[in-house]
Amino acid sequence: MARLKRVQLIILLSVVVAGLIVAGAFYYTSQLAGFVESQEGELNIIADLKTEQIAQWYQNQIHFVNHISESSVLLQKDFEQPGEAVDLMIEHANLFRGFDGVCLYDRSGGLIASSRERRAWPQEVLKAIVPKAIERREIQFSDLFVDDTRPKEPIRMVFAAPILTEGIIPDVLGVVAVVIDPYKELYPLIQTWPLPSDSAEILMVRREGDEIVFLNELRHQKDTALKLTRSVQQKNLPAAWVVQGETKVGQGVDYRGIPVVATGRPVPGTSWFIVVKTDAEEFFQPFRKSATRIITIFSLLILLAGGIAFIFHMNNQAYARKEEMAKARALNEELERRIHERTMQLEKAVIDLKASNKNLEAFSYSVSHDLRAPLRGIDGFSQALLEDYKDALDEQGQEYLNRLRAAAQRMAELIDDLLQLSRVSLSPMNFEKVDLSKMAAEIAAEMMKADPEAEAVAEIEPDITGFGDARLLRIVLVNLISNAWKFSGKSPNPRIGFSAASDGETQTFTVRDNGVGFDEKYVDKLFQPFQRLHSSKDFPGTGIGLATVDRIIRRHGGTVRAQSSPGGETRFSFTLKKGDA
Amino acid sequence: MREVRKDAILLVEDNADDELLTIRALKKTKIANEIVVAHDGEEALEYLLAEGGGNDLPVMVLLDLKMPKLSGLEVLREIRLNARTRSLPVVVFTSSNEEKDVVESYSLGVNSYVRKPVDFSQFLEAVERIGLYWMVLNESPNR
Repeated sequence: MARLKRVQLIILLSVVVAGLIVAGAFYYTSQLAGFVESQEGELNIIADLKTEQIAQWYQNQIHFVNHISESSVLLQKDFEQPGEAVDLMIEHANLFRGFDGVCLYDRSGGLIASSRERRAWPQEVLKAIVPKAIERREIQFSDLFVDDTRPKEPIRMVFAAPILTEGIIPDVLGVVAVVIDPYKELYPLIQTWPLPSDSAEILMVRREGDEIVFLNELRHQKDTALKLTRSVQQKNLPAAWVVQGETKVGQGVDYRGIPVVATGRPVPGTSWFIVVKTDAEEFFQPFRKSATRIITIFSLLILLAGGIAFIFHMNNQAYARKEEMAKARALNEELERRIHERTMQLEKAVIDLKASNKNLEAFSYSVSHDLRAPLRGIDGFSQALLEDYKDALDEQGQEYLNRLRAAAQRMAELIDDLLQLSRVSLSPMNFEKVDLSKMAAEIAAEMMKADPEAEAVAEIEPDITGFGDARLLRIVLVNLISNAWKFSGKSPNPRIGFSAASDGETQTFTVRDNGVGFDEKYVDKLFQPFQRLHSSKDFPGTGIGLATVDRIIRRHGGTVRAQSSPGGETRFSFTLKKGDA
Repeated sequence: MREVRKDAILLVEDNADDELLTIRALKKTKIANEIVVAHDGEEALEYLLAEGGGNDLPVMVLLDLKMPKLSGLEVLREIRLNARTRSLPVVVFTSSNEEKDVVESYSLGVNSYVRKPVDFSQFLEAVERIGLYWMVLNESPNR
């Protein structure tokens, strides 16, 4: 699987999620638009249907009234003997479902006959409308009104049609006023929704100045017909926009204060407006499911993207961890390999060192043994010559032989000192508490014994102990004391001394003498092998002793110092670490 | 190898110069014992451990250490392993003053260890002292 960096992954995920959200929103919107369109179409169809039905109904009423007024049963004579004619008329009118009653007036507006007794009619409305019909010679409509004479279902409407004579200029014989009961036919017609619905409602209003008057009994509120009014200014009220001529589907808030989707139409030939509405909740209900489905699907897609990203991430991490572990393992292996290599090198070095030590030992052995033998020959046979052929040699010849012997002996010394120098570097160290005072005293005693004529005085501080290898420290003291002995030998009152001082973890030991000393500017050369500050004629020596001392003290972790003023005191000091002992 | 007298000194020495110088030194002292020279370790053992005991044992052996074939230390070991020569006085007389040579010689039962000085005067003194000590002062079971 291709490896994505975390940032790349986040960007990719963001892009995918953003894409899904946009796609989801777009899909949702288009689905919603499609849905709304189809829902609105439904509302429009219903609005058109209802408008047409009501308009038709209205026309039917006019036809009905006209039919009665024009019916031949109402003739001149009928107004003199109206009983039978009115009976016929009523019989006729009863065929219409919406019919409530009928009244017959003469040409001066006087009531001739009616289908019920007199007091049972809305007199005020009739008194207003009947003369109009006589005067204008055409059918008059009262619109819906409240008939106070009826306690229940009081809404009525009246058509008043003139009864005209035949002829070019017809004469008015009388007026037929038909009372229509809207509860019977109109209201059911309005309120019938063609589809089952919980909240859908059709209502009818008319405008009276700045007021909207609700004309029918509403589905959700009782006792509203001709009683409930709303202001035309109420912008979000569907009835308000409908009475102002707007017929588009829109969202608003109805008389109950509940959000609705609504549309409306004016009913042709009347002052009425139809409002068709359904609660927004119910309107959008069918879409809610698909909305939920859309949201669910896109949420799942986003989750899926997140999940894939997460898997990628985990995979990356696992991969990174794996890689790290592999790296660590590789590093480990490399380290082990190097350790092994180094160990091998070290082992080899140790072996080499052992071998070279062994070689060096063999070399030292050869040197000490094989180089000395020829020297002994030179010295021995020179001596033999001097002894056996003394007479054959003049003084100079004898001198030469003596020089030969001296040279051989000096060479032997050099060899011995060189051997010692190499041995002090190689020999194993055996640390212990060493009585240096006693050691110095023994060495001084040996010196005196070897040179009994010397007048040197040795001042050795008692009980000085040091911590180190006794054999090597003896070599140090031998070299330093013999030097002191040697270089003070020519002083008037030769004096050598050995003392010690302690400073923290370090002890400083000093061998001093009042000999010739040395020039301090050459102090660095003192401890180099074969470096001499005095001629071997004045002070014999190989120039290796102090180099040996320096090497031994350094092997002990200490330092050597020399101080001198020519003619004054000369001090050779070395330091040793204090031991645990 | 020629017939030797009793009381001889066996000098085991591969270096002709040293041989000559040692003999000269011995002669310069008052020691009159005959000196038998073996030029290497093998020769020395042949002389000392010959079948049938053809040679009398020398009064002392002056033994060099560094020699071809058998070294002085190996000769010393053989001398000490053999019943006949076990108590023979052996003096290691060598150029070496290596500590391990000294230690090993003593652990093999050497009677004395003397380093040959380069200075012939000292050499002479050393040989004289050895001779005096072992020929004159020392009491040996082999006498």
